[in-house]
Amino acid sequence: MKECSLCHHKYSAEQALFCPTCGARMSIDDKQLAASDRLKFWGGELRILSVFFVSFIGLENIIDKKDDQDIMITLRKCMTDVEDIIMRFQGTSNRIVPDNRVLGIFGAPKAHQDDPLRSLNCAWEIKNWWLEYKKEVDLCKDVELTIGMNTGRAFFGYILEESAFLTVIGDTINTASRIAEMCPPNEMLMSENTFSRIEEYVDTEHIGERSIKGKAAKVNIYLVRNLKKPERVGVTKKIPFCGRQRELNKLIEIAQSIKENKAELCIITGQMGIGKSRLKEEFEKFLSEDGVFKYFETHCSVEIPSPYFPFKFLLARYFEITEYDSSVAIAKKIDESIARRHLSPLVAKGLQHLFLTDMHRIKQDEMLSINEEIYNSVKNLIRFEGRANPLVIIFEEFNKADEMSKYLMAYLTSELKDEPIMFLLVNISKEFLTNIGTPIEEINLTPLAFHEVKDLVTHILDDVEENLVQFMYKSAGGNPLFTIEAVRNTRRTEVIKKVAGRWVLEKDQRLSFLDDLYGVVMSTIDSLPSRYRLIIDYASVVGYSFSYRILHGLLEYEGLREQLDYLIEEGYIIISKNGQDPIYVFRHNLLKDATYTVLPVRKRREIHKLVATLFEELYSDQLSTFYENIAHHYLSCEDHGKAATYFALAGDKAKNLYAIKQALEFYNRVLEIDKDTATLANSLMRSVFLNMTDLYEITGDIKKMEKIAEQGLKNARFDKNVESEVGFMERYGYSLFLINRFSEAEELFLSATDKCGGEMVEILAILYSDLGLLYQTRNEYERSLLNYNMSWKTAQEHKIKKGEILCLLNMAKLHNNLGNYEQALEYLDYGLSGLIPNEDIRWQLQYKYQIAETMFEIWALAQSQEALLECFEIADSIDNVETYVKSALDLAIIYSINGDSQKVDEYIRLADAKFSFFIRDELLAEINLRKAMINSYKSNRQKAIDFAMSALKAAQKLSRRDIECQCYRLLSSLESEQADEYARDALDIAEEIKLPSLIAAALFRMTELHLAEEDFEKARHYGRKALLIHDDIKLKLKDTRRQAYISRPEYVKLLEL
Amino acid sequence: MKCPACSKEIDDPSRFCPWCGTLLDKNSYLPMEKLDMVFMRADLSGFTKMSETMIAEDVMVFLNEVFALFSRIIESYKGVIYQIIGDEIVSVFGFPKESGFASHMAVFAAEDMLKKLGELNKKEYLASPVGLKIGMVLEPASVVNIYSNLRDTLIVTKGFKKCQILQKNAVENSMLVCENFYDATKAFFSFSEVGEFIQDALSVKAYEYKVKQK
Repeated sequence: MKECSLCHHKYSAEQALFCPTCGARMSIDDKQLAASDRLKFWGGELRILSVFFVSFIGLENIIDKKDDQDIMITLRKCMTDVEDIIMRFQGTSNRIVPDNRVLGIFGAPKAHQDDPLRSLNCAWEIKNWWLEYKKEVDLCKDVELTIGMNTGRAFFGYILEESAFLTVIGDTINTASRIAEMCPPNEMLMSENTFSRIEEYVDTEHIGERSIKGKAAKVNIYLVRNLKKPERVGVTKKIPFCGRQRELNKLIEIAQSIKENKAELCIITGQMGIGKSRLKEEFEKFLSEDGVFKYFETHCSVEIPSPYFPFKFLLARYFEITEYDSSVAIAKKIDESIARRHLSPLVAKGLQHLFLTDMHRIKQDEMLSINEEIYNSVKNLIRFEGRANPLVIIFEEFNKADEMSKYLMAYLTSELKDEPIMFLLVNISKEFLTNIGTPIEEINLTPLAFHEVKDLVTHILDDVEENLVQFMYKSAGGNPLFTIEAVRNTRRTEVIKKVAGRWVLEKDQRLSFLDDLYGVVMSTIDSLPSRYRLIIDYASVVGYSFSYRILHGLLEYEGLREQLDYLIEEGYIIISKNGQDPIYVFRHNLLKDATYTVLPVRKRREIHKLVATLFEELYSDQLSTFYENIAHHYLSCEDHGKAATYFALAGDKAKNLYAIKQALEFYNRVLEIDKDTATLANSLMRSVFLNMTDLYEITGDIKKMEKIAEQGLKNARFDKNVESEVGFMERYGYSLFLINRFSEAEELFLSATDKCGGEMVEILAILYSDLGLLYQTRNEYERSLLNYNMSWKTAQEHKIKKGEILCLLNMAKLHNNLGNYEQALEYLDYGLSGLIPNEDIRWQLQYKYQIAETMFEIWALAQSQEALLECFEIADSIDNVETYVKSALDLAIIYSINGDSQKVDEYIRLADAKFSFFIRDELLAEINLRKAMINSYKSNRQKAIDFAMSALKAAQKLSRRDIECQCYRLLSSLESEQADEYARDALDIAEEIKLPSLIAAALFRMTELHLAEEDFEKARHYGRKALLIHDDIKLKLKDTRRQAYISRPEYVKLLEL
Repeated sequence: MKCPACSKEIDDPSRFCPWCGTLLDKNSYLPMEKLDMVFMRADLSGFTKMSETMIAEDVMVFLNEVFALFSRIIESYKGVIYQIIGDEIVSVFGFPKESGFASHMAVFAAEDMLKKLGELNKKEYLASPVGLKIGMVLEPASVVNIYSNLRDTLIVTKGFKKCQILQKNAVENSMLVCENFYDATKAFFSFSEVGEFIQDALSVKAYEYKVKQK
């Protein structure tokens, strides 16, 4: 049984629409009810609405003349019938009994693609119904009906929480009401705003401009005479490709030229609306029709760029990775795809790094190696594709690309210059150009010429007079988008008119809306039917790019895909990735920005929240891809806790991809949120602090590292979290160590080791290693070795393989410096013979390179050369820049010792050609020292001095006393005037740092100087000391190596002396 | 039986067709009552101008606050909110039962509304203060569906229109009443005669409320 809520009559007809006793309406459309509930929850929406008022005029005048009963029945019938008609057209009705009016609303709460047309048809039917009804009912003889229609933005919502009243507020409604008041009896009037949207469906009479109370400008009013046969709504002709043929030909020519195995970097620049995207589309059309080229397109339009976004987007499509794939599925897809192409599994590994970014906290070396693997893999994959077919890769809005993508692009253009590959970048920043070393082909789009504007205008309007084209050319300045908008606007405002089939200029006036770019954009958006507009509204909150799935989650429209196709056809959006979950991108970023700006703030927040939760729900398997997005959405809806959590995760991700600057930006966002709200969890802050200390260590901002570590330490102590406390003691101590506050650092390290229980073995191994390094820097080598050994033991006992590998390498380096070459080689052999997994090529490379270094020190040049050649090849194959450059220069040194100047030049060229932004100051000092040595061998005195001075400065800055010592020694042999002084400096430093091989070398230099001065006594004094050290080192070597050692030139000379 | 309008089958004995709402028996009378009721229309003046410079949501928030407050005041004086039309609130006193003091209650409510609006005008987000124009009449009305929910009730009366004429002609932050209303309350309140307003063939003699009690 159903019960009437009004009269409480119970009746059996469940589906009844009216109470059989009191006639009250019993139910309303379920969908409408659901939408109303949503609106009540949100408070309202700012929508484009088509509305009309239906007013019954004169009812008051028949009261007292007619029976109230009859009036009541008639009034009820009128209201109900009008409401029924509105409901049939799926509009919303609002009965205004005190004024005997009904308000018909189209576009809210449920919008339709053709709301203006629906409202027209609905109002027309109401008018016809009334004309019939008026004839039938005698009482209506003195009652008249008027209808006033208008379209525009209005706030649609509910007033009062309990027993809410539907309310529509805004100028749009007021204007409709005034139009109804000025409407002749039993007619329909509409405003220009409505007329311009449906003019092809209606016969009207323009009754002129009318003043509306409360509006400054007059409104053009149209009387509806009849309806025309409907056609499809809103489909516009695709605008032809005008005036860019020369630029297209140029692009095609560039593409053709890459077939000669020559890479090209091409850029398209120009102001908004000038036709960049259109040119790109036509070029893509050529590529697809030509069939020879393979081409890929990606974009960089995201709110908050994540590291390598455009490359990730491109590769996701390439490997058919969807946002629902789990980490395992992604790894599998990449592995299989790479295996099918017979590429090295290393390529797969590098590419997987881009997608699988959720890792534990990793240190600088690992971050570097991950990035090198990414660079190498992307390069190899692109090279592979290019060799199969000439390849074109297009990047839309490259000016918005993240820093890492820009570096990668610079790297690729440098590394792949002999491959048939074209990189086409649409819209780029000037700053990026300065970082590019390779030649660039620039296509700068300039405004269209007069005849080109004429072609465009003629295409839109067919037959036009010359004067009109002149006007358009002058108004829009040859910008194609502005020209199209100027045509649209002038048609609407009747600045141009069709006279005898030909379009003519009615009045030559300034088109002020073109001055304002925002106005142009808004007029473009506003010309959309309301349903499509709503899609754009929601999409603008999601972002510059938006997935179908998220949009569907927000809108749940039937036929959403078809509607998105319509928006593509109309040029509002483009499809960026097709498939199971298509990704769309706004064709112009301004479209998105303008749409977003006009949305109600509160509603925007709600949508942001919904988008954030949809990301969490829909992409739970690949959430890391969207950390930045989710953080942005949570921040926009002021959910600070969640925003901070996701910014921290985005920071972790960026850090793991070596996107240091971006990572710091994300972490700083967390700090800002905490500063503003002071609500974030201490555990979150500690994790952020910890990662920030790592990053500041890399960037060399040690003061900041110290400050953050100290903050973290305070936080951990406040929370009495011992594990964190120890972690921050290590970081704080390390920062103090880096700024040479050794005693404080030592104190912290020692007290941290005391605090480490049996469970904190990993940090304990690090602390011992830190102490080893600290003592090594303080030249307390025994203590240093002791702590390194403790670190090794801890790592070994607890099977911390990585710790063991690192520790052994540190010890081998130290022994090498101390002249304990056999010991060093023993450690290195131990590491290589089983400790380092076969697949871990990077660690193997480091070990092998250290062997080569040690062999060089022993003067086993042939073995060193052999090892260096191997290292050079491995480093090249895995793109390890540091080892590649060092090996190349070391080889150049050996070749210069051997007098092979051709090889020397070749290896120097190879080292110089290596592009990398990973080169740190420390490495730069080492590189310059090596170059100084090579030039010294080659007798390029001045060059040798320059390199030595650069190396010296860098070494002084970094407190690398060993390099400083070598620089002074070298300079002493190059600068005759200061030779003594430099030699003395070298010796002083060598004695200070107590490294035997350096002391021996410095002593030998002193010997040489005294010999040159013929002060044989002093020469013998220094020579004898040097020889003693060499002998000591020699004695620790095995026989075979001893032979090599004694063949070193200085040793021979010393013996002679 | 079948409905003569929509031809659908109707099982129960009904006054209205449950499918199309048509009154089935023309001789059957609607459940209608004749009452003397007080009608009040209160419109926020200067609101449209002010709302143009505010974001729509703030406008909505403000309206919600104003009307929530007004509705509490009106209900506290036994009035009922009949409709909200944009920035106008329409209420009825003396419903569902006639009351000899409905007019007096309406004056108290109107006075409270004027007083409280001043406080609301202090809101930070308001671009400029808004005023209130109130029209009140005492008028006979025919009402159907007098059960619980006034919003679904149809009222046939000249009261709404007369009330609107007064409201539109009221000076900001004042109330105008009709002659009936004046007669019913003049013993308690003082008014000044304003004159006669004529619109759409309806003429209303107006009195402006001055002081609460003599």
